[in-house]
Amino acid sequence: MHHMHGGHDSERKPFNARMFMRLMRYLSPYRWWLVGSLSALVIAAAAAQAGPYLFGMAIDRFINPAESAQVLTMQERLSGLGFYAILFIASLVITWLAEYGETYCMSWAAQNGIFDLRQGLFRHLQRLGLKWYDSRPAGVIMSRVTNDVQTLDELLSAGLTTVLGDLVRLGVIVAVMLTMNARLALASFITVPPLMLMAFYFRPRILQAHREVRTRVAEINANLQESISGVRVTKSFAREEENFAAFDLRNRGNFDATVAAEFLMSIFQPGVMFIGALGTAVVLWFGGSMILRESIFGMQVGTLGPGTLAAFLVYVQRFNHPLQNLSNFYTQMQSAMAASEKIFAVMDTEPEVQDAPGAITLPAIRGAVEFREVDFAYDGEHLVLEQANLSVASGQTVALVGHTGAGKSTMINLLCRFYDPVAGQVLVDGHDLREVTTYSLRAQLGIVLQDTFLFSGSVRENIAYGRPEATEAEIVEAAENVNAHAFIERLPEGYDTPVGERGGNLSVGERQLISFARALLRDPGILILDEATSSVDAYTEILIQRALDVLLHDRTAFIIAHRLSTIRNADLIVVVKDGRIVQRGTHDELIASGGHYAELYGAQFDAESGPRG
Amino acid sequence: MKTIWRLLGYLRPYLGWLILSNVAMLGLVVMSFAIPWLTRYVIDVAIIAEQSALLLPLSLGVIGAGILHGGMFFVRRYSSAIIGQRVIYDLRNELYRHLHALPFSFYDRSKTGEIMSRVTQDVETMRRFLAFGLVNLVRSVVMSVGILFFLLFINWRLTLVVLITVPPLVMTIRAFATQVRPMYRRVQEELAGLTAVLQENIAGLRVIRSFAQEELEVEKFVEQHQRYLAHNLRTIRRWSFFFPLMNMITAMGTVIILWYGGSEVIRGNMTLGWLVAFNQYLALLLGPLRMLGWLVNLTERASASATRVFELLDTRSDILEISNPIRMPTARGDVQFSNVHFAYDSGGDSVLRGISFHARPGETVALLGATGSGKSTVVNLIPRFYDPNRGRVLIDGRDVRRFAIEDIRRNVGIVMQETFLFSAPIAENIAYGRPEATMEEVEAAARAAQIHDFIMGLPQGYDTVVGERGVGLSGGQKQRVAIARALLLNPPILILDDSTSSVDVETEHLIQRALAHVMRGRTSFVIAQRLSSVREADQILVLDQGRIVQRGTHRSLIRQEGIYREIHLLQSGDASSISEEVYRRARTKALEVGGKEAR
Repeated sequence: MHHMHGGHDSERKPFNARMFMRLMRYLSPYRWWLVGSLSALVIAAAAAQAGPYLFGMAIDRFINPAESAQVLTMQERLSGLGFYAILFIASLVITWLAEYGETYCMSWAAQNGIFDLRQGLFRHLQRLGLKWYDSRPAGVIMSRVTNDVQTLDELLSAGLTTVLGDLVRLGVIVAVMLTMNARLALASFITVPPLMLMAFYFRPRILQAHREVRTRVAEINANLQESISGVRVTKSFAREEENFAAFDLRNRGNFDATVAAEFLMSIFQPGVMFIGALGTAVVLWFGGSMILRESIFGMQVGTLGPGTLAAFLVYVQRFNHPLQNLSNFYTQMQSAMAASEKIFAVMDTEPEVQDAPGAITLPAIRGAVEFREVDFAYDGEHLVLEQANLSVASGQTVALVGHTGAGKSTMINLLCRFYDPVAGQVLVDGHDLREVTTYSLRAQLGIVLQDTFLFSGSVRENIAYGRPEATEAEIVEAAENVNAHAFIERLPEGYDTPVGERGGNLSVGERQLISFARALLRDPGILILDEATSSVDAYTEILIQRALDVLLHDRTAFIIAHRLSTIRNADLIVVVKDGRIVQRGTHDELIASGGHYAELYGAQFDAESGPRG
Repeated sequence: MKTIWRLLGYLRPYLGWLILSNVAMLGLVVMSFAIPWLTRYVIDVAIIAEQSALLLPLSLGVIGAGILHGGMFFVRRYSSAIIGQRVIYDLRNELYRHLHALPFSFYDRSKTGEIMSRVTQDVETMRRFLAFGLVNLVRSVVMSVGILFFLLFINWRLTLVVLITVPPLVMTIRAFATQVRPMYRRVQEELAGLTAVLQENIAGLRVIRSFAQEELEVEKFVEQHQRYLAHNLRTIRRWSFFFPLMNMITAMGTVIILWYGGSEVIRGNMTLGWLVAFNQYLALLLGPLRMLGWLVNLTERASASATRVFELLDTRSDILEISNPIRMPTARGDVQFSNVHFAYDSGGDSVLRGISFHARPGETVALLGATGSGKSTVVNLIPRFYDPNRGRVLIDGRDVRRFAIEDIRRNVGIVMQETFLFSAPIAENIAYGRPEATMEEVEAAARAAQIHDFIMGLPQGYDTVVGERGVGLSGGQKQRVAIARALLLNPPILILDDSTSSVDVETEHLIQRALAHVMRGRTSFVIAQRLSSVREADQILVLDQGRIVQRGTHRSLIRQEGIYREIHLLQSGDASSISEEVYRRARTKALEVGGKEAR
């Protein structure tokens, strides 16, 4: 029953130097922090390798000195040992402080760089037009600013330093081992190829398996979400058993995927540990032979102190971590490349509606609106509005009627300049909308949408949304004029009552009245109203109608009308059909002349023996 | 603790696996001991005592131990993963079934998000505990206690001296947990806040653009973004202080082994081999110890999660089937309410106060009244979504509580106030109540609901996926799909709750036509705000505050003084003709209603 679109895990793209440099530019204001971090990183990586070396040296020189060496008294041996121990402590403290500095400086640079990037992205999103938004689900846009930025954050604040640190660490370990005893070092390196093989074979597969698990979990969660939301339907159709079967299938899929991933982990982890044991065995055998001056395969392998052997036992285990990290880094870089590509693609998109060079500020709107031979297509190809001509005098109320998809909303979108026409002109007070600044136009429009959207914040903030500087008296007056004051006063905290997400704690009617107040407070030159279709009870309906009268009084208004009373009271009814204006006139004229309007609304009147409220 | 035991009870069917896992764990601990021990033997015996013949066999012994260790590790890890995953599989299915057994009243009280967080996040925490936490908890304890005694036996002085690193280590781990974890949570909260701002920004796009308030939005975003940045940096600073500190304290143990252990070797109280082995054992001791903090935390969280999940599982449905219920393949459609009282919360306000009426087979009953008058409640009692507190609801002359619940619901088709479609092809949505229906039946239902033509116009026709993750349908389209879905059941009793509320004029017209057609021959209950949709009913019941205040047909009611005539007056007049008195009454009435609806 339930269809899933698998969890969209981050994609991967090959390394792209130009993109990487563009990303790095966000760090350049913080380059001194980077320099600090890198210096600390080198110190930390080097200091961390001092321990085993000091341990080994202390053994060979003082704890178990070679018989050939200069004979020391016990006191000399003990104080020599103490000296090495203090050096050891010093190296640990240095490591700690250097790691602290390294991480902190890097995070400072990365976090600030990412901050700037996200800020730039958000600002750009505010400029992009509705067309861009229309063609993408909100979730996808969200994930640009959240997940994709997060991926880059991980690369910059952790990935890069980890990999640099690991390279330095590996280098230092190899160098120290070679200096201590080149032959034993070369023998120990035998564990490196299998470790690399394990890392580069298993790691990508494990990551893939975990991605699969996440996808399956996402499927389960999506199924649960839908099952819970739809539980009333399920129960009323007595469909529980079928749903159990569907859920069980997903549950089992998740089980299988998890067990498969665990299988890989269960091989990989002990495998790596086994290579560790192998390293120990090699060092013991080879190193032991050197100490005993035994020959291996008939070759003399040289001489060695047991302390060096002890140090090697530690070093040989230290290859593992850096190699694991390096194998992860590759994937991380690929994900980051995919994320940057997507982010930069957004940032490189030019807004489709832009102020023309030399656009003027639209003077105070008087309210004359004209559509002059307007063509429009959302996709640039299929016209949804064709040769629209309309002239509206200041102060008129225009009702747009017609089927869903006929082109009513398009006309309003063009008037707000959410889009530009493909051909023709839209004019307000004789100004082509393309010749005025978008801000000066919209700042003078009042728009009430069908689906009332309220912001989280107080009732007051919502009413004052279009005019944040409005005084308390103005806000209350606006609310009173649209019949909203009385119910607002009755809310637990009056005008300070927080409005939940999308206004969830208010009724539909209340939300509409607040959006009326919001529009009225702005005192717009032109009012645009997409009438709500959702029915409210008869009493609230009356309040809304009264509020409408106030709102429409003495200003040009464009209404996508659903209430017959609104349509009847309009100065001009514009009937839109299949992207064309087919009829215009008053209600009586249009009923009298027959045609599309009479078909649509005449039937309605007959059926109800009178207009509906 | 009781919760944890109950959770462990789920392990019972997998006892064999559990034993295997623990045996492997013990073997693993033994093998962990072996490698340092062999190392020590090589150094002391083969190298220092120069018994060179032992060198190769002992080195091979290390490899052998490595192989055994690896094998044990595999068995332990894989088996415990299987156990944990099986248990969670069982638990998820149990939860899923239970969620479907819970009554409507439970869903009235609970938010979807809260239920979701229990069945997803809480279950995930429990899974982590069962798959990793439990087995590592046992291993950590066995391992650290075992090694501790072993080391005390080898050299108790050195062991005690090394142990002085443990208190500062534990303190640091605790400080890390108490300071850094809450800071992390805070960062997560700030990030969630940032996501919320963003989400609102996208959802409110048109409002923002039309009010030209982009700058205000940027300000909101910057403010929240800066808070996130500040908390993030603060947390990283604390973290990058503590984390290397823990490493340093751990490494201090090695310094002590070198310094004190070295002097023991110099004094001849210990051999060099043990000195080297001691260092390896120390890592085996401190590793589990460092993990213990995380494990204890995981156990606590799993316990809290289990409490919430079990609480959900222990919630019992109050709509229960009697034993030996009456089976009813097809009802005649006679519905009777006899003095029904009902309140959503026991002891709360009564929503229905003595409702009585009788709908004969094939009749249409319209329910009318303001929001909160009890209309929806009345129809919710018919398919037994709730049981009345007093009085009886009868179908075909028998109390609904005596029927099998499945039978009642198969006989009652409902089109709910809020239409919910599943993310599935339209055909599947229409066949929701009868998955075995043929395509012809589905199409016939869609035709009757006046939605067939629309569906055929979609690019993928009946295969078009709708719902949350599919193509968005308008309110009217969704409603017609829901009507088709109810019709396919061919129910003798049909309930249409406010089914024409959120559609435009043309669609309403379509739906009216669809309904007139499908109500024929069924007992139908219609709830509507608009009088136009109830005029043809055989009975009209006008409800006010849980009582039937008027009943009759349109013709009779329109002649009576009362609510019905008042609403009729309100709805047929246009705004300008409404008298001041009606307007004033509307203001007070709307206030009462709005208050009831929203709060």
